[in-house]
Amino acid sequence: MEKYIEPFVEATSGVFTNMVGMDIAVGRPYICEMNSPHAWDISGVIGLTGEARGAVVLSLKQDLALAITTTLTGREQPALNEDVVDAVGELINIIAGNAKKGLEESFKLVISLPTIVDGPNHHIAWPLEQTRIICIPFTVQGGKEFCLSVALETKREGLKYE
Amino acid sequence: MSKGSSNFFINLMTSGKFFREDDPEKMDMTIRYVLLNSMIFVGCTLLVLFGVESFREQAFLQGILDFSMAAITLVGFVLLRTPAPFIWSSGLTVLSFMGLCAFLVYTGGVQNSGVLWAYSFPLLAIFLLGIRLGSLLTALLGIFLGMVVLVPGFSPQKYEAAFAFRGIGVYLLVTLCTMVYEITKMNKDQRLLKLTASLKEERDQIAAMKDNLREALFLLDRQGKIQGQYSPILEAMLGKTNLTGEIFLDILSPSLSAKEKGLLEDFFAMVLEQRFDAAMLEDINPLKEFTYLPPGGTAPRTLSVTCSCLQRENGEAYLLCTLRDLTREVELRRQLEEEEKKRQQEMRALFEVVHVDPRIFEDFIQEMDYQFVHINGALKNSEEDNRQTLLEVYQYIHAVKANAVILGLSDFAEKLHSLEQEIKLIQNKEEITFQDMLHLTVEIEKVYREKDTFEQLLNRIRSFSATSSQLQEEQVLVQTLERTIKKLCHELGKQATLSVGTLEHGALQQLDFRLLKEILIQLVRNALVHGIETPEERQRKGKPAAGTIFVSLEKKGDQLCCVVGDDGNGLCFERIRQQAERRGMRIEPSKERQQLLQYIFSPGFSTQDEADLHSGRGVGLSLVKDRVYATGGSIKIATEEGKGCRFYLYFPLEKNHSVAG
Repeated sequence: MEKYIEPFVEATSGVFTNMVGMDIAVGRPYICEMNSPHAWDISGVIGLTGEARGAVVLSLKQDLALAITTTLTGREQPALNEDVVDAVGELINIIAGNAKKGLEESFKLVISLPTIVDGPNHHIAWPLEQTRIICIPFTVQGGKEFCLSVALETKREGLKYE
Repeated sequence: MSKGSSNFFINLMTSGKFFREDDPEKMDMTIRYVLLNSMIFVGCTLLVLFGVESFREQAFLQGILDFSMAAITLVGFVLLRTPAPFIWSSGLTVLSFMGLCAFLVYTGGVQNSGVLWAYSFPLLAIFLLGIRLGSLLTALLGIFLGMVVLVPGFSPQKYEAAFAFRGIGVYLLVTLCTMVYEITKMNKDQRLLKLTASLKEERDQIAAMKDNLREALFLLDRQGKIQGQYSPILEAMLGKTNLTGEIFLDILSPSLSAKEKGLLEDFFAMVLEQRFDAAMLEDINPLKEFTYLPPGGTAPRTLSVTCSCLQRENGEAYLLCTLRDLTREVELRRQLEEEEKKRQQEMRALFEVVHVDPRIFEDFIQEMDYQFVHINGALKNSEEDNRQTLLEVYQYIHAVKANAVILGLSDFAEKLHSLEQEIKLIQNKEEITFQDMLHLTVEIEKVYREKDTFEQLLNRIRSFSATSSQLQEEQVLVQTLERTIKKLCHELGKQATLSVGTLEHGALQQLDFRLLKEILIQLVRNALVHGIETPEERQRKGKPAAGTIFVSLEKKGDQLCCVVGDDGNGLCFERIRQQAERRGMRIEPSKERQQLLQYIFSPGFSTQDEADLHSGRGVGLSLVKDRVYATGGSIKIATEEGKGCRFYLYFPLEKNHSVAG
């Protein structure tokens, strides 16, 4: 499980440091219920299929999403708009792309295109039976936070013959 | 002769021609080249010597002839080394030699020895040009020879008849012998060709098998060297190329300990000795299944080698070895074993859980939920450092473990215990990394899932015990009625079967089970004793010998309707009236039927003349009435003379029923 998560954590750190130009610190992972209320405003969702099935979600609060978009587009963003959604989509896309490199070396995984969900306490329909997710909190310089949530089911590899 | 000079000599004699090993004419053509070249060398040398001699004897024409012949042979030699067909050079040599022979025969040569030269011609012509062309030229020269020695005045020489015949005789003899030899050789060649072709086909088939087997076959000689004809797949399995002449043990060396190597050497020696039983050898085979570390650091493979001894005709013994790649097989076996272990664990866990009282089990799960909320809180609390968090998590996990142990959930307790060990390991580290904490979180999540499984299990046990009790109740009811019927039929000499209609699940839950059982037993007995006739009587009436007693239980609106019926005689109002009148009951003709139906439920009523164990005490129907009325229910009867009778009991469903009396 953690072998699937770690590439995403590394990719996230890399993308924030090199692209967004923000230093981030990774916090202690914790477990939370899928449907418990949360304080995030916008989330990018990437589905995984193959050896492991599930999703990886990057959730941000509005202020951080705006700050990132400002950095990327060079324009002040007043509120969550198309630009912000695009920027967050792009961000998660790059993270997924980088993580994919790390994952595909050792696992048979297919990574979907990212979907963006936004709105206060938005609901994410996780494609799984389990009810819990592992959240990895990140702190950006200036104290802003975001979180990477992962829920995966590792499929038992069936008996197949080459 | 050194190698270089011997190569040069061979090259000289074969004109540098190279024939492929599988060329069927290789042997034949090589011999022809060697023969022709030898002829050229010997002939050329001789001709040069003769030429010099002839010049010294002033026989210039002869000398010129000799030299030109020598030159021609040299041209033949050069021609042989070009890609030109063999026939050009051999034809040139043979024809010029034929001319020389003709000349020598015609002129008679020194001391009339010219004829002698002709004797060697058949050999050369036939060997070099083949049987057809060679024989033709031989015949032509023979005719010329005959003409020279037999026809007077044809040549400047005079030959005696005796000499002529001898000369022709010897020529014929040489020709015949050469032809016989050549034909024999041709036949032998053809046979050899056929044999070679069939051998080649066989070899190709075997090679195809060997090359396409999924197992590698190879031979080891006494020194343990791999022989050349090994399966190509062997290279892939061992991750090494060009194995011919390699010592097999050396290749395995990095994968074996010194002791194993020693064992293996002994084992090979034992196989070669051929004194031991094959099964025994297979038992002690150290390579039955071993881990092979391929060179270049690729992933280890599981291989299996089996050996047997192969005795060759030349007395050499070889080890015939088969190498199988078991990597996939072993991997699958491991997976299967894991699955099996997991299944057994689940079964064990299930058994452990089943022994726990569901209420206690539920308490345990709630307690766990409580602990888990705390664990989450500790993990989430960013104020605390990792060590503090680990300490808290450890305590909560430990608490859960203690509870699991108390309940005898040893399997789950073991999992919690190993989680504790993991936490301790992390605690003992100099520095606790994000990876450590992530790993721990993942492991904790696994325990949560275990709890989910318990919860599902608990629900299942609940529904299972509920349905099972329901099933039990229904079964108990049906079985009781069946037993009742069986016993009574036996005693009354009647035949009857129970037919069960709808038995609504919920219905049994909503009614006092004992009460219902009691009522049903009464009505079934009643039906058997009073309703169902004897088999003889039934057959007289054209009914099947065995009667049917029908029972059903259904919800109808807010009532539960219980039907008990039979296909017997129906109520005999005549007998009921007689009985009622005997008891001093006043019956009004207008309400006769209604009165009589009420009367059968009165205590003490019985149409039986004598009381026995089953009825006749007059409690049966009155008891039913009391019980049904006590629940606030009602009774209806439908009866038809000769066809049967049905009791409809209605119970209201909104009240709790208690058994009266």
